[in-house]
Amino acid sequence: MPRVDPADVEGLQELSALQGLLEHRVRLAICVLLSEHDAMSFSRLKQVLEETDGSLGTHLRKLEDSGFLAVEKSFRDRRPVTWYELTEAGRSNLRRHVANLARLIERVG
Amino acid sequence: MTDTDSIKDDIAYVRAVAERTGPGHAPAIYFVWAVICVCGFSLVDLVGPGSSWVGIYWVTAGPAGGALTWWLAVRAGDRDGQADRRTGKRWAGHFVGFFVVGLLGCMLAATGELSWPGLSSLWILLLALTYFLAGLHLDRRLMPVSLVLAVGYLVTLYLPEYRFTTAGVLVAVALVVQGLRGRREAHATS
Repeated sequence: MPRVDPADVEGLQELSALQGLLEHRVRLAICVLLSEHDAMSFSRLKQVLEETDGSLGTHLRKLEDSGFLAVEKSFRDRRPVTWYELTEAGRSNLRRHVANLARLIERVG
Repeated sequence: MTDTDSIKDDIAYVRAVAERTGPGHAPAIYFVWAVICVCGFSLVDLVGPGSSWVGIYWVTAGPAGGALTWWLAVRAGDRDGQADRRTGKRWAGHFVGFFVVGLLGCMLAATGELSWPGLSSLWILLLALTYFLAGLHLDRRLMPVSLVLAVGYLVTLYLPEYRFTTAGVLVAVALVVQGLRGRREAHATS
């Protein structure tokens, strides 16, 4: 049986306290980007994250369904544009998640 | 890979992604201010630093340029799919601050504490400081422009003729170069 590093056990306990939704790095990146910028379009997020339409759409829907994101649709040159913004709930969850991550990394080193 | 290694890896990924989205860039804004500066600075040589035309020009062109800048920035944000309203407010605060301080500075010349040519040079020095701080806090592309403005300030003190026109041309060239550089960088990343 492999030996378990005590630091990792503590880390795993901390992990359980993290927001499950933000454990996926793409969803975390989406929230971080939207905390930096007021709003971003689907195409811009796709360009920056280098994700496929389907994959990005799934992550965005999960965040939207959990109330982390607000969605607004508009038109530009007769083409639909979907804009995403971080909600207040999303912002506070992100803050808590980042604080937990920082604590965890500080402890484990 | 342990869970903590995986978290560190995720953080590195998020950081790399965040670095890919810098402040939005609208080269047209740089070109607008290049034109405003070259016209405004040359006007000082043309009509004299104490002329009311200089004041009228800046009181009109300053806010008009600011409004045009706002519109161009919003349009660029719509085009790029990235809206930065909070950053826009910080930009506005930065340059409105300069404008108000500049207007208050006119009191120095009005009360005879400073000559009108001296005030015009002081405006350029204040503008250099404003661009330097904007370069430090908002967009590094403005840093070289602040250095050129500082050179322009010295030019207005030591050049025998066409001092303000020369300073205006220097600043306009610096703004156009930075605008074009920004456009090239934006094309490279898109």
